[in-house]
Amino acid sequence: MNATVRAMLAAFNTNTAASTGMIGWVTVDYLKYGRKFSVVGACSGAIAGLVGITPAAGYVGVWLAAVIGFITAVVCALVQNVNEWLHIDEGMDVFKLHGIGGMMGSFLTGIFASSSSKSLQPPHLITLLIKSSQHARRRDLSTRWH
Amino acid sequence: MLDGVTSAPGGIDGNGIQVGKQFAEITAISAYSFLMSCALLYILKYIPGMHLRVTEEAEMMGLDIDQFFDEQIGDWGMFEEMDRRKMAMEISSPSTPHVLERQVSSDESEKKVTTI
Repeated sequence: MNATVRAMLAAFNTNTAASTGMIGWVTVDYLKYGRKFSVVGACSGAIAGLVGITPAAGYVGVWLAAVIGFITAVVCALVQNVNEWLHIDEGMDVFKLHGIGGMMGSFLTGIFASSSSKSLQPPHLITLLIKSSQHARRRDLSTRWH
Repeated sequence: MLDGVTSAPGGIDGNGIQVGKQFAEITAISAYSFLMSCALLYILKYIPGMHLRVTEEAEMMGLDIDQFFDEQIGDWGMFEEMDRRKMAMEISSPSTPHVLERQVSSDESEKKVTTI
């Protein structure tokens, strides 16, 4: 990914998804454990949001990035006991956050990926250079042949 | 298309087939990483001198003490501060607490002797 508006959008998306992921996980904890938060839950929510937006960072707008981070964090918070379901001994919740969060992010990328901001920016400078050089070469060749 | 090259419509743009493609991607990546991890871990398991798990005692004791000479993770600042204060107190007032303790203990023993 080169330095375009798309890269800037990816940075914004990542930030937004981390924050809404934190909100999502904390909301689930708030409803599940009787109006109480957990700092570990908030940090896990930020990680889940970051993991969820990673596949989609360059393909969605900022508001859909917020939605993706929120949904991924909520799903990861709702499968809290997945290590017991799978009978695996894993203390760091790697599969829960990165495995399930990554699957969720990939799935939501397929749903939310949008090319709606197609005309936000003219083609990138390198693309223009390549096109103009091709054009120049073609013209050069045509003058040589004729 | 923000970089002028990529155009990636998804389900929200009416390109529903992309969701199916993403499912195929998820399945393929999961299967690949699971199989490769299994293969590498089985190779690791059967190399002599290497294990996938530690013993039960080492797990109870903590891997830091089992495999390193000190413990790195944990909040030991409070205990270090207490040790430091104890040492500073012993240096500043040498052996007075011990004398007091001995007097008390000797008094008690004398009392016990007298009562007996």
